[in-house]
Parts: sequence; structure tokens; C-alpha cells
Amino acid sequence: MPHSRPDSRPDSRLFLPLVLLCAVSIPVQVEGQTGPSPTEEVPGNIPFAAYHLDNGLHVILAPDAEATAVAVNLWYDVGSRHERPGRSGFAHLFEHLMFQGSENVAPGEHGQHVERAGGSLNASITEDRTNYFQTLPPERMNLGLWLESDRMRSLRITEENMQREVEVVKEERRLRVDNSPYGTTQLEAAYYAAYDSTSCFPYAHSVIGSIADLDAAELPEVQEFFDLHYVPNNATLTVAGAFEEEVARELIEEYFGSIPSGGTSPEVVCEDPFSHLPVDRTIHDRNATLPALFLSYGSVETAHPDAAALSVLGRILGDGQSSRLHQRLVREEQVAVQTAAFSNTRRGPGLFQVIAIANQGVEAGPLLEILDEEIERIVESGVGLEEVERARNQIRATVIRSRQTVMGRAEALQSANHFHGTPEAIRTVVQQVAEVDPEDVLRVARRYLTSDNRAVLRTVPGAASGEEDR
Amino acid sequence: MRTLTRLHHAVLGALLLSVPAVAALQAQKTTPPAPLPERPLAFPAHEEFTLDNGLRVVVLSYGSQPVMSARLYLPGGRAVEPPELAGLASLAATVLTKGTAARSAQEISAEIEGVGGSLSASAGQDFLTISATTLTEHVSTAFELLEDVVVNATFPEEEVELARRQSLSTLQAELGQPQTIASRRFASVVYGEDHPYGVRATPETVQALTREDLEAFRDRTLHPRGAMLVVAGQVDREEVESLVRGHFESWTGNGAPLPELREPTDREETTIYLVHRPGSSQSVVSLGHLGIEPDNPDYFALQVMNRVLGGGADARLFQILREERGWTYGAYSQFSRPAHRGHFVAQAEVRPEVTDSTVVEILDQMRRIREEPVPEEELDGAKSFLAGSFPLRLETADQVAGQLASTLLLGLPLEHLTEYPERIREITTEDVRTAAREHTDPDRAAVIVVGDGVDLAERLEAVAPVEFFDLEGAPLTREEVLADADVPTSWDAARLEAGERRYEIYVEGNPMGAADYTLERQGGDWVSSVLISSMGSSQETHLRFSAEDFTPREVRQEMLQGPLQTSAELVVEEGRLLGTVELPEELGGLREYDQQLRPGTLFPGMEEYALAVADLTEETELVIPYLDLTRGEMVRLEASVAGEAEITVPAGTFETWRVEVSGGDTPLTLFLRKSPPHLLIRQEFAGQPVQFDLIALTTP
Repeated sequence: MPHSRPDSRPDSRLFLPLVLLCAVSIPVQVEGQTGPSPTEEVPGNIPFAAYHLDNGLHVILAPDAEATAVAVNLWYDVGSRHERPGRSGFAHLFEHLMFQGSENVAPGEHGQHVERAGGSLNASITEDRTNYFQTLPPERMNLGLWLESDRMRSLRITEENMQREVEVVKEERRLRVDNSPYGTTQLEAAYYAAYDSTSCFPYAHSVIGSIADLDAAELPEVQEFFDLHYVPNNATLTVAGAFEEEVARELIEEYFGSIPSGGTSPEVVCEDPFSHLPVDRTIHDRNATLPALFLSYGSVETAHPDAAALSVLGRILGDGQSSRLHQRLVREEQVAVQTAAFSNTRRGPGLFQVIAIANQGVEAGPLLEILDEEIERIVESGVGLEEVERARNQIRATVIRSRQTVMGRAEALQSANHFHGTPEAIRTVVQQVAEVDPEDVLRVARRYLTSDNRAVLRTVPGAASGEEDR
Repeated sequence: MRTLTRLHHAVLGALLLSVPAVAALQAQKTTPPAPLPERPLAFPAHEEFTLDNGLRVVVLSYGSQPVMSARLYLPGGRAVEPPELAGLASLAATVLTKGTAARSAQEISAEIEGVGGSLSASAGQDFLTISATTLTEHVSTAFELLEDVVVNATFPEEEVELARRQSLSTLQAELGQPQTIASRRFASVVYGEDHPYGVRATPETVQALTREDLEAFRDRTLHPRGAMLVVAGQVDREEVESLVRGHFESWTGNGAPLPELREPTDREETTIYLVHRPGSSQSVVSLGHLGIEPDNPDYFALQVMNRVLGGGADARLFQILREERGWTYGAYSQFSRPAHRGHFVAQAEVRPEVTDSTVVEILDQMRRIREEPVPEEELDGAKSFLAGSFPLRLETADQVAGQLASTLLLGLPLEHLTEYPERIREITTEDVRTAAREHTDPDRAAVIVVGDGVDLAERLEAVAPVEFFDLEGAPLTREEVLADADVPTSWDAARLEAGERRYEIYVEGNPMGAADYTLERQGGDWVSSVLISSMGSSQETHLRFSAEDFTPREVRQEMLQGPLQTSAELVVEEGRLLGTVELPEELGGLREYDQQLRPGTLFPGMEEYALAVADLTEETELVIPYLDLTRGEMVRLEASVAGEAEITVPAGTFETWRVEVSGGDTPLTLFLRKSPPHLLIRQEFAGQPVQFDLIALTTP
């Protein structure tokens, strides 16, 4: 006899992986557009200097006499957007391979060196970039630089390392997607259904990778991917915190200066990514216990003038307990157990996503009607100043708070550089949000939240027939 | 900035021209570079003033971003709770920010979230802390709310009940964890059950707390005398002073003096306290004794000593117990530093068979560090980690404020904090040995072991005297523990019949799933397959057990409940239970089994067949021991016949025994066919709107 009852009630734990999965693929949110703001002292500003080595390595130094630690932070301009059809998951594979040793560092030793020095480290990947970072006590800045230079110069790419990490990545995919409730729907919503795969493959496939492509991976191709993307002229090194600028310059030249530069990676092509919309698909999900709706509206790149207003719109519609969707769907009508809305911009065209997990006994269809009423309400009558103020405050506080640590400041500079084309954009992203008013929110809602500009994904709990591995 | 950057680039370009040959010839260093010269760590200065009402205010102007954090520390955390009201401080802290004379819980949260800030309260061992954080442009909101909850908290009844329910369910979950059982037992043994550091909340004490208790706690604790407010971030003294005066100058009250804590007593000998947890798949060991007062000058030497002994993954306990012996996933030690006397504790989770060896090894390592000088390289590694990670803990204003507050609240000289790295680097091998001799003692330790007493009693008695306890902490005799080894009942497997059964699963009366059972004979064994699926949850179990004497042979189980996936694969070979159970991380992750299977213990799923062959009468009461894969322990199901009933289900109308079953996750009511074998006709779950009904029965 079974001792535990079948779930008769939704459990908040059920939805944790949803949030996690979002985090994997959403780049650090930087709203607003590039623009000079010459002399004004902007809160949250970070003084820095930027230059290039002869081999093309872009360097951003943000020394801060008051800081107690140093962040050594390296972004490679490579993400899933750089993968070709049949090669999805290669960029992700490198996020793992980079810890498998280089000429002077044994597998796993990178972490040991950093931890024994009292530091911490990690790496992450999105559609648009891959980052590697360590926080160290000031006197060990050189350790971080040396470790990063050793793997940029001489990563140990062997058949054995590759096969082992392919298995690790496949396992990660099984855990995060194939065995995770709404995992498949999320990939549809973020990639496959949201983007046109013929005109915009770069964003029409997932970061995590396809098992078939990973199985087919051969060593020479993997080496080729490394040689093309993991080169100094395709990377930006940011050092932030407690150091002398001249000392850092000398060490960076010593460790990185003699690494040969590589070729230029081909341009990423994504034209008319949303011309295939509208799309309406039903996904059977054996891991899900409740029906769900994932809506993805085509939107803009991070540097677009509308990005700030879209992020304010996301907060008002679906962030937190006071948001409109939570109030209406979860509290009042109790048709949903969880709702979310957020602007998910990218380096190329991004998405505005809305998610609702139905309550017990509620089908996706009726849920969509109520959801659409709420979206319609904004498109018809706009939003109030107080709502906009709250959203602006929250975004501003999140951005500024994240810049308290040396790692947060390094990431902010990298993000500004990568998504807005210059690290100086850190001065403007906060300001852009502060200037959003109710009319801006109404305008972007009308422009992007239209029914012919969206993919509707309906999750139906229960066994799937012919789930695809893409 | 643009011009500056270009300038830098140009200058650097010129520099490079003069040294290209050197750069080109420079090969990569083959070993990591030696540390750079140390930068003096300029610990941020703070300012202080005291209001007439006694409130001590500390201002720390620090940080590169426009943020502010304000934390109010009030003496009297969990340490001032009367034992019968354990849990009071935590409950009061939770509800403190959930309603005032002026604002409801929703209004408070809307106001603070509206400016992107946070407001919360928590009860530590010695202090109650109320914190507010905002951007500096919203400091007035933070202070207004802080004042409101400090001066006007009302503890609304419905918020008290909500917090109590949450607290009870958290506590309930924790009490199922052997680690929590061990640490609670450790505290009460080391400090004594009458010392506040030795007392912990129980479901009974939390249940008994009243709103009046919370108000009494508020009146005793929330007053300015003895309180300390730490304001940190991009703020200056004048600004903070005018805010604090505006909001807290009129705050009054003295409260009652804090009760004196009894001096805890040092132990005379090493004793093992064995908490009997039948069928445990692993043992939890917590070993230690009283430690130092916070102002003890040996603190720094002990930090280094502990880092060598058990303070990390490169320390001795971890390296020996896990890397060399493979006995455990982790083993760590630490010194605590509360306001009064702290403790030293080493902890490990190990396989049952190596429990005694683990205890002996930890005691040996404690002896070794008292006797042998720590080699230079180990000492340097420990010191460089401690000194190196220190600046990483001082990054934000909030972090510095936290460190500063604990130093001041413990009454320590500020140098303890500001000169921490220097103090650590000064420690010598001899300092470590002296401190170890002075403050650790393997011959006067309390050893808590949570595990199966039947397996462990004799082994542990060879190490030190053993006292026995049940999970709630009540003493047991040795005989009571060993009585669990007796084989309870034998089941006559020959009475089973092969066949197939199908059940409909109803939730609130609606069909929501199905369960299929198949039992067949394969050689000398019965083989059972069960597939249950309902609303996206599913459970598949394959069982093999002896058709002669019911001995379990093999179980394979896959369970999916939402994202929670469990899989188990276990076999019994020559009386040993071997295999793995993989649980979701929050329930403990991967668990490996290699241990004796107590005779008479059934595999999950077999309890149903045991009932089918039992001799059921109106007075039958049975105990069925089975291995609970989720909890990783042996569970005793208690089944008693509570009556008879005529039941009509889609498969027909049956005369049944109504059998009440308790001891599993949920109490059950089973309706078992009167004629043997006693097949399940209907199953109900107490308090749940879920029911299984037999819809088809086939016998070959």
C-alpha cells in the first residue's frame, strides 16, 4: 500500500526549478540605452579605465581604494548564439571544460588554488556570453590573473576530458529540462517557439544544448570552437576592487600579453526573428502536476530605448505579491498558484515573458482569458504613477545593491560593455529606469503586448507522446 | 572618461613599444605566482553616541554605493526564554514586523517593498535583532518603519497563528532530521537542560505560546537601555544623529534586568549518549565539550587550530575520515562564540559499521593536535585561508556592520576585529599546541550518536560508557533498545495467491488516477509489481521476496512527485542490505546502503502482503517493521483491527475488516477482505480527501 498520498494540493516546492531555470538563461539585467552623461555624479557610478592589449584583449580596471577584496572577472564573447545548427551545447560544454586543467594547472586545481587563498569562484553561461570569475584577497589578485591566463593560453582539450564533460552536460540537461516540471515548456517559451528557427537560429535553440548534438561532438570541432572563441581578442578582462592600477597593468601584460590573438568569429545573424508569430502550442509534460501557460512576446535588444520601460512593465505586471497578476489571478480569482512577468532582453532581440501556473482544476484555456484581461487592462488604460514609482524604486535598489561587492561592480562593467557597447553605460542604466513614466509603459505595452506578436505555450500535465530532444 | 581612457591607451602603447622583446620571450610561469605584497587593510572607522534614554548608536560611513542598513540589537534573545516558553523569542521576532498600532502587515510590507527595501527581525541566542535596509534616498522610510515596529508592535492574533503554523511545520520537519536531533541533544548534554543554551523549542512549547507571552517578551526586551543601533552605509554622523533623535529620543522604558546565566559545568569524563533511531542508514556523531568565553585571548590560536583539525575540506578530519577512509561525506569541527561560554564540536555522518571507529578517530585526532606540533606547511595553509578570506567578509557596509556589532556586543576590544589578519599570522605551532591542550580534551567529551542502538550499543560500549535515549530525549535502558532486535512476527508466504488487481484513485470523489498490482511466482520467490499514477505523480515498485519465509531479496522503486524524484535500488545478499537510494537534495540526496538488514524487516510494499497473510480477528494488533526509503530508517507500522464493514466497490461487494494503520507518513484506514488472503478492497488516508477502490481482480 502506498504510504504517501498522491498530491492533492499544489506545493510551493514544485515550482522552484522554474525559477532556477530562468536564472540559467537570463543575462544580468541591464536596462536602458547607451548615451553619454558627461559630468553629473550618478549614484551607483563606478570609476574605471579601459584599454586593449596588443593581442586584442579588452581590459577594464576599476581600482577602489576603499575596497577590501579584488574581483578577477573574464567575459568571453561567446554564448549559445554563436553555435551553428547541429552544434548546440558547445558553448555550454566549455563552461565545464575550463575547469578541467591547462598546461600548468591540473584538473580541479583551479578551484583548490583559489579556495586555499581564502577566495571564491564560479562561471556561468547565457545565450550572449560566458563568464569566469573569482573574488580574492588583494595580495592574491595575481593568482586569479595567472589562473585565467593559463587556461586561455593552454586549455587541456583531450578526448577523455571532452567525453567526461559531455556526460556531465547531458546529465545537467536531464536534471534541468527532461526531468524538471515545465522544463520543456520553458525551452519552447524562451527559444524554440519564440524565435523563428530559419531566420534566427542563434536564439531559436537552447543554451543547455541538445543530447544528440553533444553525442555527435568530435574533438577537432571542439578544439576549433575553442580556437575561434577563446582568444584574447574575443574577451574582456575586468579587475575591480583593492589594487594599484599600475600593478594590475604590469601583471596583465606579463600573463596575457604573449597569448596569440585569433581570428574573428563570424557575425551572428538574426533577422525578422518574430515574423513566424503568432504561435500556439500544447506541450504534454509528465513531470508537471498542474496546467500552465507561458507567453513570450517578441521584444527588443538590451540596448534598445524601450528596454527600460519594458522592465518597469514586467515589475508592475508580474513581480512580487503586489503585482497585478498576483493580485488578480492568485489572490482574488485563485485560478493560479504562481504568476510571473519579466522583460528578458538579450544582445539581439529579446522577449517579454509571462508565466502562470494554474490552480488545481483550472485548465489553460480559461486561465488565458483572465490573463489576457489583465494584459488588455494595461493596454487600454495604462498604469498609475505610484505603480511606476514602486517598480522604478525596486529596479534601482536591485541594481545599486548588486554593485556593493567587487564582483557585482565587475559584472556591472562587463554587462554595460557587452550589451551597450561601452563600460560607460553603467552611468546611464540607472538613470534610464528613473526616467520611465506611465506614458512610456503604456506605449511599450501597446507596441509589444499584442496577440499576433506572441507564442502561447500550454502545458498539459501527463505523459508526453514523442517529446523531442532539440 | 572617454578622453582619459584614450590617454591611458596611448601611454600604454608607448610603454609597450619599449618592451616587446621581453614580453615575447616571457614564457608562462609554470607555478602559481607568490602572493603580492600585502596591502594594509584600512578597517573603516566608526563613530558613536548615546541618547539620554540609553540607546547606544554606532555610525559606520562605508561603502561605494548609496545604500544604508540600520540594525537594532536588543539584549535578550533565546537565552532569556523560560524553558517552558522555548521558541518565544523567535515567534515574537517573526510577528514583530507584522502589524503595529498604525499599520497592518500588508501596509508594512507594501511600504518597504515600494522603495525596494527590506525590514525583518530575528532572534539569535543572545540578542533580538531588527534590521531595515534601503537606498540612502529612502532612509526616512526605513527609520519610520523601524520606529513603528519597535514602539508600536501589536502582535495581531491572526499573524501570531500564521507564524505559529509556519514555525510548527518547520520544526516538525527539522525534528525528523538526525542532524537536528544530534545538535539538540548535544546542546542539552553540554550545557544542561536547565541552561538557556541547552534548551530548544519543541512543538509543545511553541503550541503553548500565547499572544500575552509575546507582549510580555516585547515589554521586557524592547527598551532603549542596553540596546545598540548600528547604522552603516553612505551616511554621515550628523544625518544619522538627527534621524535617530527624531525617531528614538522619546523611546522610553527600562525593562527588567536580564536573568543571570548559570555557569555551565565542565565534564569529568567522556561519555557516549546514544539516541536510538531504529533502522538508521547512517549515524550522526556530534562530539565536543564546553569552549571559551568570548574574550579569551586564545581565540586566534584556536581558530588556526580548528582550521587544521576540522575547519574545512582540506582539514584533518575531512581528509582522514572522507578522503582516506571513505567513511563519510563530510566531517567538520568548530568553536562557537556566543555572549557567554561557547562550545567546541566536531560532527560527522557515517555508515553504521564505522560509527565506533569514527568516534575513536576523532578523539585520536584531538589527542594528536594536543601532542604533536602541527607541521609548518599545514599551519601556513590554515593561516593563509583565515587571513585571506577575512577581507572577503568585509565587502559591504552591512557585512562590516555585522562584524563590528558582534565585536562591540561581546564587549571585545576593537582590535580583535581590525587586527584579525595580523593576529592570525602571528600564531605559531607552539601557540596552537598550547591552545589545544588548554581548550580541547578528548577525555572529557560528550559524544552524541544518533543511530540504530541495536547495531551500535556493543561497539560503542567498547569506546566509552554509553547512556541510551529515545528520539525525544527520554532515557531508555539498554534492554529496551536491544529488544528491538527481536524478530517480531513471521509471515506465512505460502498463503499468498498470484493475480492482478486494479484500483481507481479518487481525490475529493473524482477519479484522478489508477494503481495496478501484479503478484506472480518466480521459482522460490514472489515477485510483485505496483504502478500508481495520479495527477502527474507516479510510483513504480518492483519487489522480490522469498515465497518460503518472506525474506526480502530485491526492491526497485521510482517515485515522481512534481519535481521531486526518488529512485531506489536495493538487494539483500547474505543478510546484508546493499544498494542506493536517490532522494531529492532537500531530503538528503544520494544515500548508499551497505549494512546488516535486521531480520524481520520488510521492504516497502511488503507490508501489504504481510497483512494479507496475517491471522486477522477482531482483536488483532500487529507491528510490521519495514524500511522507509525516504526517511532512511526502519519504521514500525502498527495495524489494528477496528471493526468490520460491508464494502461495495466497482469490483463487487465484500465483507471486510476495517484496519487502522499508524506509524507511516499518514495514518491509514484499510478495508481488507475477510476471506484470506486479505486483499485490499479500499484504502483511505486520514484527513485527506484521497481514496483507493478496487475495480478489478483477476486470479490466474
